[in-house]
Amino acid sequence: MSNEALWALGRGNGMVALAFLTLSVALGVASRSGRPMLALPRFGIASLHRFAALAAMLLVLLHMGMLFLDPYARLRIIDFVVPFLGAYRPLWQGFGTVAAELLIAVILTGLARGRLGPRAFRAIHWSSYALWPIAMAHALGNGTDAGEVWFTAFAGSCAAIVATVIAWRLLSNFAEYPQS
Amino acid sequence: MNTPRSGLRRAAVAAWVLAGVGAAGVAGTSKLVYAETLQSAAEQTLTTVQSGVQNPVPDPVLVPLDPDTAEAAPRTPPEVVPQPVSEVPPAPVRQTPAYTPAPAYSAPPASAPAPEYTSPAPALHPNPTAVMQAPPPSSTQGGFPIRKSHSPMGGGSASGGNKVTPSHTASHGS
Repeated sequence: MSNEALWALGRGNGMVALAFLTLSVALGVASRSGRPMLALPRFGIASLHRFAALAAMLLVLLHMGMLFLDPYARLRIIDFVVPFLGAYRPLWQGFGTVAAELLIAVILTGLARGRLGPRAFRAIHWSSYALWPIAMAHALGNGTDAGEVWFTAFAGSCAAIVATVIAWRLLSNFAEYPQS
Repeated sequence: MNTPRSGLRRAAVAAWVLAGVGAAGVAGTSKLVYAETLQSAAEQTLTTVQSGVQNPVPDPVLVPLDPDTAEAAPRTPPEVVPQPVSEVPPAPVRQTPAYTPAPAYSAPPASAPAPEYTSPAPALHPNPTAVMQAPPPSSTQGGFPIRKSHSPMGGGSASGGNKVTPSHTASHGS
């Protein structure tokens, strides 16, 4: 595989990972509402939410691995662990590192939800609301295609989806069965 | 029928649909950015060649485009386009210690420093950062070499793009 192909695949994986993160956030909010949607029962929404998050995790790992293998990106192992040390736009690249670490934390705590208990799980899971804008900032600030029209439209669509579901989340009649 | 079993089946179908959409999205997006990379590189090569024709003094770095020579060139250094434009011999600071420039070699800077004074300094105290690291991002490039601007015609697994004639820049690769 040529280096140009690695570079292109790394970028493509990153963009689709952002799309899956957006979908995961939207489905997570939808599953929290307790309503069946899109011809899916509540547990189906929750199942899709987990699937989208795991797919996003896989895509983020592919994104990191392909850009690491591409010598053009000049990424080091420490850039995947410690944020804001990168050679190219360290602030925006560091946001990507932070987002990846947050995603790993959210995924691991989600998988170990039964052992953690609902309170610890929820406390960590709430960081997803910070994860998404950090990942978006990484995409806009570090992405090569950030100035392209199609990427702006894609990022705007993702932002509109997340803004809509968060606005829905804040409504008083959000949950089907409000907690007393 | 709205049984749990049918709901489970619909959720599985939706997951498979998502997986397919994701795979298609990765393929499509990667193809799009790959095509953009090639197109931008071709446009830049054309612009470079045209500017080289208009320029009465041919640029020795940007002109060679044949794939045989381009394959041997590193990928990152050719991005620093402004470097060869000045046609000035390299400054002594950027030379490797093995280079040991003679006084006659460092004389061309127009400021006319005394050869006895300038030449021993780089030989005795070479700048280690210029030797070990890739060239720092310049402000005109936005801080990092963007892959769009290099020519992919080399096609090698570890090289590609334009050939850089000065040996000192080629040795500063990644």
